[in-house]
Amino acid sequence: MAEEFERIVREFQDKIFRLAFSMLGDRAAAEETAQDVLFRVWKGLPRFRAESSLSTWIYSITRNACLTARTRGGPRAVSLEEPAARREAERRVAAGWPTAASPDAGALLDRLPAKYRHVVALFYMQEKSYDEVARMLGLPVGTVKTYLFRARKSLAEELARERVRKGAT
Amino acid sequence: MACPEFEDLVREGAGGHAARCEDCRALLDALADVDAAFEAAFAGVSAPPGMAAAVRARVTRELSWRRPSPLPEILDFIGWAAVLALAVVLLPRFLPLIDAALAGRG
Repeated sequence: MAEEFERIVREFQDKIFRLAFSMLGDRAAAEETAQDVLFRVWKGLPRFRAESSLSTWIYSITRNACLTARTRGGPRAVSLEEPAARREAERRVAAGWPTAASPDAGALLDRLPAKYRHVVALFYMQEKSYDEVARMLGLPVGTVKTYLFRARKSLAEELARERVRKGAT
Repeated sequence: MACPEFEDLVREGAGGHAARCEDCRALLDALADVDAAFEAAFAGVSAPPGMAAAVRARVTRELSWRRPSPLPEILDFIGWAAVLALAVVLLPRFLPLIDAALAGRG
């Protein structure tokens, strides 16, 4: 079982963390929850009967753990202090990009309805794989595509309108 | 000329209708910025380096708690040894009494 668990840790630790991060919007909470999930997986592994696939089982444990963590700590927006976002912002400043025109991901996510937020975040974390995001969230692929389309469309329209307003004033 | 639906506009890209329509070009630009912002924030997010090690440590702790302690076995042995020793010490004292009782009955 130890070898099987090691394989699971190697294969799923990033995915579990991403799913938790997308649902909780906070790195520390996501790490704590992901650790808890892996521990639960280890405990449940001897009883796992492969009635569902291993990934389906792990993702459902993760989603449930996140829902529990969310009811304990309340929903949080994705932090604007994420290293990747900060690095990108610094890179843009260094490259002389017009930073005022570059929206930040956290502010954009905050504008979205809750049900779209983690789909959007997870989609970009999972290298834009609709199938993987659908598996991770336990949603049909069509629903994931619809949510993403609506979210991107509404954000783009809003951003374009804002730019027109700013340009007009 | 009417602007295409958003989906068609995205499919056509900047070379289609957007090349002639400023509003649609602005919309495509905004969409590209939205995508870029999300890519920058979320692409490459992975589990913190110490996470797997922390889980392994927790599993090891759990296993050490689960390992049965030898203490109950040792106490059990000591208890039965004490009972046996007591019996060996006390039996010679009570043996004459038992003999007398048996002889009296006979």
